[in-house]
Amino acid sequence: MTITADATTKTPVKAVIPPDHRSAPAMKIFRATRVWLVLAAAAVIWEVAVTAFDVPKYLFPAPSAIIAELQAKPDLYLGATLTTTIEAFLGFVAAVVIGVIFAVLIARAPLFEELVFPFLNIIRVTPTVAIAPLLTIWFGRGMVPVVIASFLIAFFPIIVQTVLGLKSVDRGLIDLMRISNASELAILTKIQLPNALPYLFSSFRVAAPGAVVGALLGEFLGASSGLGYLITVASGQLNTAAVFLLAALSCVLGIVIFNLCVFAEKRLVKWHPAVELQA
Amino acid sequence: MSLATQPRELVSLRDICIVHGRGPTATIAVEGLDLDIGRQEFVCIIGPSGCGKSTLLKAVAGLLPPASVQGTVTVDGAGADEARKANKFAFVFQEPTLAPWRTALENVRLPLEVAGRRKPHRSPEELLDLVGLKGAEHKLPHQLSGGMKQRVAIARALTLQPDVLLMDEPFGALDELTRDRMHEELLNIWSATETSVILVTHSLIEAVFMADRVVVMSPRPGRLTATVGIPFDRPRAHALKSRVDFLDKVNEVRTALEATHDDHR
Repeated sequence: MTITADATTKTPVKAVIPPDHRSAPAMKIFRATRVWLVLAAAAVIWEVAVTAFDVPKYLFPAPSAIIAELQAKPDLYLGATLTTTIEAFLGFVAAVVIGVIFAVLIARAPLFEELVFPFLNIIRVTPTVAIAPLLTIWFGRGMVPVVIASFLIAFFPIIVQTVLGLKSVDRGLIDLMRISNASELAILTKIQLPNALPYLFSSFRVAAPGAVVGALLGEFLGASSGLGYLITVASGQLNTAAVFLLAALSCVLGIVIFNLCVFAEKRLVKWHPAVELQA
Repeated sequence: MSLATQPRELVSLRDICIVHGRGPTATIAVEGLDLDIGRQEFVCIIGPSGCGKSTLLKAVAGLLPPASVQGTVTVDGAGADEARKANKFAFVFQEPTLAPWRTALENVRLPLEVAGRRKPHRSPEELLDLVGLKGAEHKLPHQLSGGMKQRVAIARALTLQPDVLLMDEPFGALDELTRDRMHEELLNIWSATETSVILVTHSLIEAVFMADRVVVMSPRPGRLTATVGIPFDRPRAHALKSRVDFLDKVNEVRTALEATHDDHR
């Protein structure tokens, strides 16, 4: 056959392995830090532009002015950050606990879903901005209305995703459990809840920053501490540097919480293909 | 216990009819089906796609809504529900259906955790060894090949020492080489247990190679149209598949299968 003749007369071609520039140490450091380099460059351009064009501080403060504001009153700002963190955390934890309980009831009891879901939807589509003043009227100025506002924003992504996770179980696995004579509780705890775990974590990516936004909103509309409260005070005083600083602190808080969720997700749901791809 | 005191048949299906839905849109999946399976017997059910083979297996295991199944299923003299509660059945699907968050070993252990009864006479570790997965105990399903996953599913099915192993095209999703190997291995595993097997397939060679008896089902509504006894000695090895008398049996089943098709044309 011609194929064998070719194979004996022709020298076999060797594949060329492309050199790996990407793993050189300098390249690795550059790739790990380039995001920060861009951010630093942006800050420098901002600083230079504000100084060069002599922009008034109350209109657009330079980065140095914002940092100076933090250095002037570190206790005030870090204390407010801590307050907001605690409130957002409490709202988030409440949203997880109550959200998962509701999700289990919705996924397992069709009647509950039919009767309760419309109410949940009404609360969902009502803007939290409209509910927050009511919370202040009912619970006074303090931590409680802020935590509830935070809860309200974090609650829905958790409930929706968890219901999806509980319901999207492989039918075959449920059949196998029934053949093994498993109780309904065992089907919930051994199959449905583990199956819902990746969905729960993916909801955290929305719910956790949402909890921060909810806490800020609650503080903004009726509280006497926290980042949201300080924003109302600073903007009233036209202390623009402080407003920028408070926005930056809120932003950092959101980013930290988001990354904590991603970290937890990677540690706890290693088995999920989507998680492995990101890791 | 003498053989005389035991009924010869382990599973007995009488006048089985399976109807999906109700009213004018209802469809009859299986109608007037009788089938007996003996202790440690290996029966293959073969038939065209959509003839209700898989539905029949689910009915035997009690996985269908009671309203859709008519007739009687008895296992060892007990009703199907009672038999299910006594963990007499185990199922292997075409897909491995493993819990992706559990390792191979944890998947095999799952029935034991939920059934909450009797000490297994083979531990999950032993069962994984039996299906040739020693060393892969702590791998997650997505780290296993298709053939390995299906072995885990088989080991899991054996965990509660079932009297009847129901298999719904268990090798249908595997490549041909793996499937050939699994045929032999399943026979070895089966001979090491005291289990009867009802295996649904649409592969003639698979049916004739594995079974003591091949039963042929007609297209919907499914009925039994023929039974072909397979006399080859056990243990059976891969070489059997190329023997002339083997191919004769395959042809005999093929003829029976074609006859049911023609009747419905």
